[in-house]
Amino acid sequence: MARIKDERLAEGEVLVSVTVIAAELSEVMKIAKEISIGAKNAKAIAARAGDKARGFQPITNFIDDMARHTLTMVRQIDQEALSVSRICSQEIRTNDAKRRMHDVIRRVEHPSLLKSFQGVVTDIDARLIALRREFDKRLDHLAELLDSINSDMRAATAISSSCRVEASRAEEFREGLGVVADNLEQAVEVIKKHVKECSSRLQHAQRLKQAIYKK
Amino acid sequence: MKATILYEGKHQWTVFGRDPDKPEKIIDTNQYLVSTPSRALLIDPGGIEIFSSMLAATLHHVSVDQITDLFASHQDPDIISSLGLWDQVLPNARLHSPWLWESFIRHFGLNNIEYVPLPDDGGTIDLGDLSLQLVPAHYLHSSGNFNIYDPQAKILFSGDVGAALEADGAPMFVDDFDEHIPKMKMFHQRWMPSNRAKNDWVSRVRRLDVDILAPQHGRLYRGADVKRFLDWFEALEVGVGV
Repeated sequence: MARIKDERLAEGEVLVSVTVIAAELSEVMKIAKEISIGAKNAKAIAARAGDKARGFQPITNFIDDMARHTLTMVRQIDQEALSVSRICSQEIRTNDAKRRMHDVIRRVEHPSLLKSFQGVVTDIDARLIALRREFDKRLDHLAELLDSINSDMRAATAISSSCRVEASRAEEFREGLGVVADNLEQAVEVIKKHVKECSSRLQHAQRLKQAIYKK
Repeated sequence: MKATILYEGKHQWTVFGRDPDKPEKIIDTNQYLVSTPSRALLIDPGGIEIFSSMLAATLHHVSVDQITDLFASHQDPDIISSLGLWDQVLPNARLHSPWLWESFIRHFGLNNIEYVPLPDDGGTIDLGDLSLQLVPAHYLHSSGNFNIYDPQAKILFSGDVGAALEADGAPMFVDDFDEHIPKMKMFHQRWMPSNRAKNDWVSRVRRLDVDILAPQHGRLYRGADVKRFLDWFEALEVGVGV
C-alpha cells in the first residue's frame, strides 16, 4: 500500500499519472501506423514474389488487422484516459470543496447556524462517492484496454517469428521480407515498453487512490 | 472575518473584510451581503483563498438557502475566483455579471449556477421586494464593469473605484480623508485606464443620493467624504502609471 504525506499532492500525482498515459500512447499510435504501412509494403513484396512467398501473404493481412486493432484500442484508451483525467480533476475540486466546507463548520460558532448548511455537505459527500465509483470503474476499463493491446503484441511476437520462417523460404525476396519481420519485431518491443509504462502508471494511480481513500 | 452592518431597514447591508486568516500575500477585499427576509445577494464574493472564512461569516447572517444571487462586478480573481466552490454550495443561485466576461468567468468553474449576462447599459437586480440598480462603470478599471446602487439604503457599491491599499486590520471607514489620499492615489492612477470613463462616471454618480460609497478594497466613505472622494477623483489624472 502506498503511503501518502499530503492528500492534495497525492491527488495531483494521480491526475498526472492518468494524464501521462494518453501522452505515452501517442507514441504507440505512431508505431502502430508504421506497422500498418509496413504490412502494406510487405503485401506488395509478397505479391511480387508470387509462389515463392505464398506463406507470407496471409501473414501480412494478419499484421495489418493487428495494427488496425491496436490503433482502435489506442484511440479508445486515449479517450478513456482523458475521461479519467477529467473525473480526477472534478474529484480534486470536489475534495477541495469538502475540505473547505469542513473548515466552514469549524469556524461557525453556533451549530444552529449550520442547519441550512448540512444538506450542502451531504450533497458534496454524495457527489464525491459517485465520482470515486466512476473513477474506479473507468480505471478498471483502462486496464482492460491495455491488456487487450498486450494480447495483440503477444500475437504479433508469434507473427514476427512466422514472418522470419516464411521470409527464409522466399529466395531472392528473403532480404526484403526479412526486413519486414525485423521491423515488426522491433515495433512490437517498443509498443510493449510503452504499454508496460502505461500499466505501471495505472497501477501507481490505483495504489495512490486506495491510500487516499483509506486516509 | 470582520462583519460590519452598514444599513438596517426592511433589508440589510453587511460588509465583510479584514480577514485575519487570509494568506499574507493576497490583497484584502471587502465582500458585501444584501439580505431581505427571504433572499440574499453576495456582492463580489471574493477569491478562492477566502471562501471558507466568507461562507462561515455569511452563515452568521443568512442561511444557505437564502442566498439566491451573486454579483461579480468584473472578472478579476479577487472578485470571483471562488465561483467553483459557490457553484457546489449554491447550485440554484444566479450570478449577475457583465456579458463581456461570461466566457472568461466560466473558467472558474460554473456547472450549476445560472449566469445572468448584464448588458452594457446596466439594469436592475431584483430580489423580490428589493430592486438594486446596476450602474455601468466600464473601464473603471475593467472594460466590462458595474457598480450597484441601492436608492433606499443610499449605498453605492463602487467596486475598484475608491479602493485603497491598506495595512492589515485597517478600520472599515475613512476617518481622515487627506490622510487616506496616499493610500489610494497610485491605485487609481495605475489601475484606472481612462480619464473620459472616470469623468463620465463621476458626473453620473453625482446625480445619485449616496450616503456610503463602498469599494471592494480598503475603507468605505460616508457622509461628506463621499463628495470629497468624487472631487478628488475628478481632479486626478488617471492612466498615467506608465
